[in-house]
Amino acid sequence: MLFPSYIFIFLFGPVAITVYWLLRKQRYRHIWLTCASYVFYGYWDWRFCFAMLATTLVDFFIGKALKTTESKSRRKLLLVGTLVSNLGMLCIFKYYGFFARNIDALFGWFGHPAPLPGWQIILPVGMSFYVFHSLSYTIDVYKRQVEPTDDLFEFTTFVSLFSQLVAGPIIRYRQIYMSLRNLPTKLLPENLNLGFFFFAFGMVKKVLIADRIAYYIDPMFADYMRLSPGEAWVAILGYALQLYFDFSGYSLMAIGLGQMMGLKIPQNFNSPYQAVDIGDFWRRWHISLSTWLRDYLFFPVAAGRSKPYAALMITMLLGGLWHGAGWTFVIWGGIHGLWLVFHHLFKKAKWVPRNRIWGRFGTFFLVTFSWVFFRPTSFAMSATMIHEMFNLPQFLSPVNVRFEFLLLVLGALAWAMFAPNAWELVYARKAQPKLWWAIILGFLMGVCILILSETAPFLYYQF
Amino acid sequence: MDDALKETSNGVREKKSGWGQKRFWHWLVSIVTAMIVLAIILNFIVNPFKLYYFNFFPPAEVNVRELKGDLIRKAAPPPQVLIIGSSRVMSFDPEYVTRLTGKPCFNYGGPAAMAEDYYATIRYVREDCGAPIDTVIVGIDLEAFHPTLPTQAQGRFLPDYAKYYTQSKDPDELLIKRLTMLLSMEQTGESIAVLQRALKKEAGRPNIEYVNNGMAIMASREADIKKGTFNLEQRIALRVRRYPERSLGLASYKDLSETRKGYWEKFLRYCSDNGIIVYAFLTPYHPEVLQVIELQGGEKIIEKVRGYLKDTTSAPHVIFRDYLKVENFGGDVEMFYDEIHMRPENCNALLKNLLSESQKE
Repeated sequence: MLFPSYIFIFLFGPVAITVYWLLRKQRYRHIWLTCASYVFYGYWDWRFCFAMLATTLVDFFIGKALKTTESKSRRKLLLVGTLVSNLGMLCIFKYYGFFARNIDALFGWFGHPAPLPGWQIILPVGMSFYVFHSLSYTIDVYKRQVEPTDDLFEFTTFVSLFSQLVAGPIIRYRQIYMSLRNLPTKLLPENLNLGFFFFAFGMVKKVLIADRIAYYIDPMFADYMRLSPGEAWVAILGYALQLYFDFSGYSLMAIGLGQMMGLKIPQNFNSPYQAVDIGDFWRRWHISLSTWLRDYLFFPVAAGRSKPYAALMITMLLGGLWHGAGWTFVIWGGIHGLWLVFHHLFKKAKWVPRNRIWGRFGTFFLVTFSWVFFRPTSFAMSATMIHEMFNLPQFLSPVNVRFEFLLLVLGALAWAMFAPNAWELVYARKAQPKLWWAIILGFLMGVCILILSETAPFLYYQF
Repeated sequence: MDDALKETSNGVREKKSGWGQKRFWHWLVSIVTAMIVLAIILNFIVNPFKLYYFNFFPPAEVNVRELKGDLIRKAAPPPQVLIIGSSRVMSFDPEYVTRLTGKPCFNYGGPAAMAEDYYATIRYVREDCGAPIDTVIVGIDLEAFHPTLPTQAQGRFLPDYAKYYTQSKDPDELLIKRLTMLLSMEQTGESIAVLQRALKKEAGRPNIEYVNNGMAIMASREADIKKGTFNLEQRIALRVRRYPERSLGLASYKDLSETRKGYWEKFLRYCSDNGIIVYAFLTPYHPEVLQVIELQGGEKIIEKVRGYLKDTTSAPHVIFRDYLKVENFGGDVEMFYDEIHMRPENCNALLKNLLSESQKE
């Protein structure tokens, strides 16, 4: 079930939130949210629910065992257990095909038959997200950074909460357990005002910007072999904007839904294309994933090293792999790792430009260029795109794109690079909810609902 | 004002943030609701696609299948030759066919016809419209056997025609489709356009006009050609990229739909049982779009469709020609309106090749 769909907007969302507020007891609310979230998830394929339930139960009981275990070796064993079960699940569902293809290719290269069966395993949507939710809980419990819960339904609510289940933000138990244990009993106007504001804002970003851009660029990527240099640049610029508006739009909708239930879901995007350097970009883009990788991967690997560049590269390579089971994603992560390493080295040598506008455009250029490895489905496609983008003799070839598409891209670019984001408007600039905002957002949301039938799925489901 | 004040823990009353007041979400939800309700009422009353009860305004879009059904009933003499297929055959000239065959002909080409439409059309035309068809010229699009592309709505909304879609779950599907279309932007846009025209007392200016024998005249494009403002190269350049995915659905077209194969075979059986000669051909593409389809891995499905059609058209009453490439029938790459629709010059060249060459055999 997608947020921008008739079934969610007219049925699931209103029912889930209304019943939640009608229930008085916290336990019933946890049970209700769990059931609603499983219905939401099972709407894709009911079989997916079993994988999520297995992850949840394993981590809940490991958490309970960690609570009562003082022995260091036993605690380590339990940690290994949670890592094996969570990452093992991810490996089987998400990476088996990738590993099998590569191992088979390697054997084939030496003239041996393929050793691994070619199983077609379907990746349950959003698995990478809920596995990270759940895994962060057991790691934090192991590190004694959070008290494990004894309430199974509180935990199932945390792992499966429909608002951020399939495409994040990746929430950690320590960020939300206070809210989950003290669910508000009174529906405050502030919750609904902010909830509707964020939800409508996110929907406009997703349906009116990201999906419109996708309408034009998808055929360009399908026809990548015949793009002129100008078209290749426009396509990749369009994709950079589509991805941002799609994913940040989804995150805002998730935050809005959380608000409507009185749950504070952390910000996931902070105008990343306004970043003045690559480090700044990663503090603004998919913040919940960046901080997750920083805390659970980078810090442990870098611990005790004076030059953490290797740890940075490992983190970014694995971060790339998290996004998809393909070498192009690994390369994309590796390129960002390199940008970060160079950035640190340049910063040390004081070679970083001081002009913030140049920094912003330079960072945007690097990030946009790197998407060349993210969007294509193969190296050949990435290589062809890069070749076309820098095909200087053909640089003045005609650019066959529609004028309205160019306007859309330029408008979206100006928005992404210069306009304040929804979060900033509300919390930093203390903007007040004006009537004309409600009129404009209400009108745009109405338009979104009228074009829902054409809406594309969220890009981040596949990750 | 009391509502805008809240008491803090130390008892000081301070002004609440504006977000704490009710007005905002009330307005937002009211506006969204009002827009949705207005759109539903507007679409239901204006009814631009003739999906609902009211008929106060002329429809924005003609139901070609219904219109042609009416025309064929009035045709005198009733046609013996029938041209069927998608919009790509709508410009085929029945008079030219009459000159080549000596028999009265009618063009029943309709938008986005798939394999099920060939079967539904022949039965509808013979059994419901009473035309004594003995020859069918069927233009088969590459996507006619697509596993997921939907059956075109016009046929589904015409009950006498839709009853021949034997394998569709029409009643429920139709009701849901009609209801969700109340909320579609496309229909709302058309409703507004219909209302605007009604207010200005203007007649609609259709892009396509139909003559009594069912042939479509691409009025606006012909006007552009006469004015010298028609630019085929530019038109193709802007549309060609979208074709493989948006129109052909190439990503999900790995195999032919068994259901649609079933319809095609039923169509052939029906023709055989009723002594109808079938001239079938794969409809042509402009070379540029064919190249894009092939570059995007479409060769396999082209081969599958071609192979399947060859296998199923070996009976003596069926003649099959592969005209995917313009040169296969001696056509001219310049004689296209766009990447798939041919101008009358090419349509005639194709018909001449199909009917004369086949008759020689």
